Amino acid sequence: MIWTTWRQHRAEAAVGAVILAALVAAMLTVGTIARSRAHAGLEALHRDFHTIPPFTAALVAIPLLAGMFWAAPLVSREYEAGTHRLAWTQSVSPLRWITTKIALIFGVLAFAALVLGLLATWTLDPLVPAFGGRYNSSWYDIQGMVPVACMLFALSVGVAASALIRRTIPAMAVTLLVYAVARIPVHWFRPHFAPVSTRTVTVPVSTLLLKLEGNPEDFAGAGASGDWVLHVRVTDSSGHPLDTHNGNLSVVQQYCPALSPTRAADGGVHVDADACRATIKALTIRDTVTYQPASHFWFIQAVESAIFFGLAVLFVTAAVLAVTRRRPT
Amino acid sequence: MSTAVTTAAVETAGAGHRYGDFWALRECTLALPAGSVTAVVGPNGAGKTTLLNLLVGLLPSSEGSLKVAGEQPSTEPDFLARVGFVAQDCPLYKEFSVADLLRFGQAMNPNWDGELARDRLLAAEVPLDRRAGRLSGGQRAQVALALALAKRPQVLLLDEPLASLDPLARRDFLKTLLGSAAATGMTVVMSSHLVGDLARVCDHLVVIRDGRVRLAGELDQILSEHVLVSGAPDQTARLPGDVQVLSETHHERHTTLLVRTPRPLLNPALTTAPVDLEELVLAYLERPR
Amino acid sequence: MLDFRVDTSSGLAPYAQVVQQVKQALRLGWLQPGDKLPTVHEVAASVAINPNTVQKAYKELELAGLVVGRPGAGTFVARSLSQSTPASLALLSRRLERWIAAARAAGLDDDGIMDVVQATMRRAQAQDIA
Repeated sequence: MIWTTWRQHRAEAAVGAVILAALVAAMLTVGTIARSRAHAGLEALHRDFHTIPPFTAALVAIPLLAGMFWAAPLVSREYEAGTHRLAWTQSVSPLRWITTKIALIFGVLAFAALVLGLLATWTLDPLVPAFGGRYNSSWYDIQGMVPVACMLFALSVGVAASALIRRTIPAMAVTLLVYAVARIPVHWFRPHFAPVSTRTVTVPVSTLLLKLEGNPEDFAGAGASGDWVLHVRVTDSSGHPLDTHNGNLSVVQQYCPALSPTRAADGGVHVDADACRATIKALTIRDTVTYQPASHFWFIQAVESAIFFGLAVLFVTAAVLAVTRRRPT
Repeated sequence: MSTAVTTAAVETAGAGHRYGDFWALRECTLALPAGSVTAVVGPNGAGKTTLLNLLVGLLPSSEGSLKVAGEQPSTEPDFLARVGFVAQDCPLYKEFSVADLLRFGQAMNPNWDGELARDRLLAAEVPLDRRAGRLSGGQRAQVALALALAKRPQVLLLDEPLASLDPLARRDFLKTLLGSAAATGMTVVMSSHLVGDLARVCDHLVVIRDGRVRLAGELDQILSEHVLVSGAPDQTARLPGDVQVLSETHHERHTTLLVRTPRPLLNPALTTAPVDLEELVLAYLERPR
Repeated sequence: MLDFRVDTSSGLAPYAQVVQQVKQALRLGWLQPGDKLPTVHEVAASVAINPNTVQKAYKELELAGLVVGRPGAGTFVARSLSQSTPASLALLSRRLERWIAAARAAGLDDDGIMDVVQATMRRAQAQDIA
């Protein structure tokens, strides 16, 4: 059965090996260059690697592509060609047939996903401080354990669709749909996988004068710390919420209506700040920041991975039952 | 060849299969002796494929029981190793070479006689390095048959193996099949919607129509029990009670009947003639129930 | 060697046709006592005839004393078909002439006579086999 699995899927294995090699090469290159440029400072790193070669997009897509092109045809191909009547009347039970195929194919692809996940973590390490932390959404999906969980999930959806629908193209479509429906909303649930933290930052109102085009939330203190800021509540010093829609300028104007902005030649906003500075010298606002600290990153990944491993087990079970429960052929 | 047939290699008792509300096969009761070669005949959609799928374990039985090679059909390796199956259109992995398919057979079957398979393919002049998708219909049938025979099964089931073969390929296939049956004593059950080759090839016959068995038994006995009887209407009306009339044609002064009679009809006023096998089968297929 | 044929429309059971063909070969001298008949396997593999049919035919021939099966060696012709003595043939011919005259008197023409002969022979054969 092992030889049979290899022989039936060796063309796909070759394609997969080429893709894997290309991605590994790309990541090694980027990682090495990033490390050699680490001394240049965060600004430089951000500028140079702003358009990272699209390997991040490719890596996010890999599990879905694997599910659609390697798992979705797995059983349906046999039904479409009628070869299930050949495969399941040899001396190997359909149960052993499907479990061996799943074990081998999923095992190899999960290992490849693990390699890619660890390598992506290594590659992005020096870039993390320049890009505001690991939580950056497309980066999150490709680091650590999550790629393995995504891979197994996509494969399990594919094989279940294949076994239940018995037609390859519809199975591929269903795989795409289910994967998207399951993965896209996870982004909104992710913040709840670990206990959130809060901190309060006190911001003198006079500081707002220095960045009138900005927002009070800018002082929440994310950025280089790598924390994932979920929500910032801006209040005045006695706890009343402030309307920050129109930026720092409108906040300052609440305390000092005399502030009259003018448009300067360079397009920026200028004010005569001396009048206000005296008024607002002692005033402060508070940013109450709800966030996931950078240290929770791997825990959150573990929770998310566990969820998708669990779903993968369910889908694989469905696939095995569909194949072994003899139904009209 | 064993002539002392004591055990039935294929036994069914009221077996049937239902797809939802539709019974593809019902109340099928058969007993086929070990070493026999049986033809299952009937029109398309009659239930022949359903019967074979039940016997090989690809379908579960909705009612009744089945026994093949002494065991109930299942997907267990023990059962699968005893039963060979050639499905309709001889499915093969098109991207595999013939040699790959032999390797596949070896990998999937513990009792594998690779030499037998290779000898068969050599005799059939099938090139081992050709991809299965590039073989002719006759060659594919020979490969599918070789794969099934190399398992050394006790019972071999074939679903319309001759349907898409030209006469030469058909003859070659049957030679291989019967030669193997002669050498090993294996039981063969073959479905067909063609009646032509049956008399030379099979010793048992099963006729299925609309999901039910209409006729089953040893071919020699069936042929001897069916006669075309003609005579004056008053004579033909007075046949012994154990005579079963299958079809009647009335002419001006005489009547012709196709009957099944366990004993020879000795009435000298009746003319009897033997029935062609094809005519006989058609009578069972046309008879309204 | 021998080339067996099975005719689906002959009205004779397949094994009986094989028996007939062996007997014909014996009568015509194509098979002599001591000759080995093709094995069941050889017949099956060369002309695609059911091995059980051939086996049954050989059994019948063995019961008639025409062939003898030697385990491990094969099936061999035991004796040639007995030729009737000239005297018995003459007797049979005279009886037949009388019957033919009676049949003609009853109004049967040549074809009619052949019909009766064939139908009667078939009935007799069926009775032998049953």
